[in-house]
Amino acid sequence: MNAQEKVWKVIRGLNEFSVDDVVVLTGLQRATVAVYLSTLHKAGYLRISGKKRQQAIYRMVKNTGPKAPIQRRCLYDPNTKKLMYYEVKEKGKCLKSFKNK
Amino acid sequence: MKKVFARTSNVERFILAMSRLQNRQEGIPGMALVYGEPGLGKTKTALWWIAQNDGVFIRTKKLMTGRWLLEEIVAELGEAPMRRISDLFRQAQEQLLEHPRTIFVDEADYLSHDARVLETLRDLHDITGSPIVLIGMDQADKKLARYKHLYDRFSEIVHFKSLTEQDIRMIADQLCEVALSDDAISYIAEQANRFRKIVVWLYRAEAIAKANSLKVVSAQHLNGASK
Repeated sequence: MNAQEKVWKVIRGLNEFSVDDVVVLTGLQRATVAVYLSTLHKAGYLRISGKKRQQAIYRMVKNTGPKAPIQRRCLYDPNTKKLMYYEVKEKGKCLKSFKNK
Repeated sequence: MKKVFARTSNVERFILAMSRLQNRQEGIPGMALVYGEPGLGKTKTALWWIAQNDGVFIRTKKLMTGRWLLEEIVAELGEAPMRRISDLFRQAQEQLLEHPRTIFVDEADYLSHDARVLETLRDLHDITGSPIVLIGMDQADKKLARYKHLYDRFSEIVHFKSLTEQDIRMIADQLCEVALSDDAISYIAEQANRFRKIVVWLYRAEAIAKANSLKVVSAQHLNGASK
């Protein structure tokens, strides 16, 4: 499992979680987890349901399936086979990078 | 606070049981039951183990039928569930024979009223040999003991117990950035036996140490803080 797969697997089993919760369970670097969760949040997978010790508490609202959405320049969901989030000017490059998926 | 997974005595017993389950000899059944009161970290321990070792995590729902459970298992194994229940079972079976993985079924209490659902899990285990771990609340052992054919398949039973003073010492040593005296550990043990509550006390101890430039925090400091 790569880092994103680990995070996705763990958060699908939890009701609510912070970045630290996921760091503890996966043993990954904090920055890695924080960036991925924030992208999932921007793409509408997670909702912020509160705050604890200055950290956002996330809740999964769009659990599309067992395959982890892949973040490179943008976010691609292999369950739904859709591009879920991208910066407008990056769209062309994103489509290209996931074309073979 | 250090951001690492604390190995309590419950976690240590869980790890041992999982490794015996993975490395068991031919002919020994490979189902396990993990049970205990809520809030002791059963689910988190399973997720932590899965993140290191891979496995499939199924969250059961109260209304879950055998078909629904099989659909979830098939989807988690990475296939599109078919319509007929016989096809579902075959899909799960083929996936597991091809890539054996441990299946964790969380909140298995929800299934304990339905013998057929439990027997489906047992069948899947008997045919594929893939370990299946049921996670349940306190008394889950008694609820499941009624199903003898299932209960006989449990080669490992892990009871998550309330955290003891020794556990609190283990947690503090692994997570807390400041040393705690033995009387501080005993003090916390009187106040809390749930992981979350204990961590709150450790945060408190760190704050006290910082505010007063202490190297070691004792029960007296903690007691003063709570007043």
